[in-house]
Amino acid sequence: MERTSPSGGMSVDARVEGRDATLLAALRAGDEAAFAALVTRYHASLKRVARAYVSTDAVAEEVVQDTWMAAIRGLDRFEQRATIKTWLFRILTNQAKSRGMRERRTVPFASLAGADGEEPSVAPDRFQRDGDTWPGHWAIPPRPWQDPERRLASLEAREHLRAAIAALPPTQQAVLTLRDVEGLESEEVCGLLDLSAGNQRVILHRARARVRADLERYFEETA
Amino acid sequence: MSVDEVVCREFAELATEYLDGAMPDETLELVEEHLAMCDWCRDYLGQIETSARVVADAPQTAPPAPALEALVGAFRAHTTEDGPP
Amino acid sequence: MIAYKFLCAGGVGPFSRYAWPLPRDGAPGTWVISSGDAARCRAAVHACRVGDLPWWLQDELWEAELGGEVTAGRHKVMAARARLLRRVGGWDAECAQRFADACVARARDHAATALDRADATDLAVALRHAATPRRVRETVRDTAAPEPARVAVSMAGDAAIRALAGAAVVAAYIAAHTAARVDGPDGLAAERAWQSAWLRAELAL
Repeated sequence: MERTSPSGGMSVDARVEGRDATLLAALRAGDEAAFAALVTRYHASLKRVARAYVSTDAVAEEVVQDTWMAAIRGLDRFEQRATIKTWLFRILTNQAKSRGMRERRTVPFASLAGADGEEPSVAPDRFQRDGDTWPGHWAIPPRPWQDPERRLASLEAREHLRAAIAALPPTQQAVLTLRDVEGLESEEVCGLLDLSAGNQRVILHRARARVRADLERYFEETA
Repeated sequence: MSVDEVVCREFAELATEYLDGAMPDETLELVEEHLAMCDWCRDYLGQIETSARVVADAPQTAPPAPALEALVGAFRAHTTEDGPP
Repeated sequence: MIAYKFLCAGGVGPFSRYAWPLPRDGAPGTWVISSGDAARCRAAVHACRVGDLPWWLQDELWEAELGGEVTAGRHKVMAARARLLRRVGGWDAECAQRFADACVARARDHAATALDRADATDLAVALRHAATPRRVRETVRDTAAPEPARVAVSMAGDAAIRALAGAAVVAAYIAAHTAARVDGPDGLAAERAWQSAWLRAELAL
């Protein structure tokens, strides 16, 4: 089925391409404000993804710096076959991988608090057990959330949400960032992180489930 | 189990696969049969969707000022180096 | 082929959240065409045969015409395209409540059978006497069922609780699983068949 965007028939892809072209022209013309804005825009997400490959926050910060340096150098050659966003994350993952190897990190990305047999997404005591009337059905079901966006609008709530994301295992933060914060497609994320579609989805689900659980507690405590 | 179905505990692991449209048809049938009668799992699914949505609006930490300055300096040096066309 | 669709209030698909084109001035709704292969659950338009109805109960029941290739799923049919013909007016909140109450009576009777088999005949008689969902709920609450019948009796109580909350589709599910508890998979199939027959007769399908 056709998907049309609300703004007069231009597809989402065409609009992004247009904005990218404008930004690229500004950067190539030496527009420092545009560059500073770009750095600010992507800092947090780049760092979260970097952090999944290296051992400390400080090193992740360095990887991000190296990424921008490489982007500056590569600006002239960038042909816009990908979006600027994808291009930046590709540079980042390359930088992060080689930095991770230099740190002699031998554990591959995917097995880091990722998809392998872990505790389930929802605490087992939330469900009925064998011997109960309805094994596997909710014992303590989720309570409906009333107007969650409004309740998350306050400064305090938003800070809480930021902290909840920061508390996720690094691999889950990386996948959540790329899929849900930055809106990249599943295939793209698999390519960037060398993950199978199945693994990537499990990691994303665990991340979302933890955020959901955190928000559930938060809503209950602040009701 | 003598009855072929997906129950809540299983669906709790499948919500993202369901939202991605990545579920094999055989499982999708069972999941839809379950969702048709389980308002709790529909709530859970909605909460997973909401969680995925709100993280995009979470505050983002900014680059440290010295780091940003250094990068802008490098950017300036690089573009000046090449000179105007 | 004629089939049925349960939709949420306003003719909205419960999963797709798609707003179905409704019949107007005696003319059927416009054809809705699926995006792909009719044999693929994800891509096709879904509908119910009469035998499938109990799984999918929603606010509104519509009669639909299916076009193109039609494939059978477990408890539904899939087609390349469909259009709504008419609203089945007999299916409303009041009918749903009557159906739910009927399912509670069935669950109660299955639970009573379980009590009989566990040699708790007095308890079985008492349970069968509970004529309304409210009475079933109270009786179950006051019944110390022996172990072989414990789960079935608890299920009947749950059917009553959910029917009292107006959740017809859940009451039907519970009744089917109470039957399964007592008579295995054949019992479940028979219970669903009973439910379909109830709906067919009540709604003149």
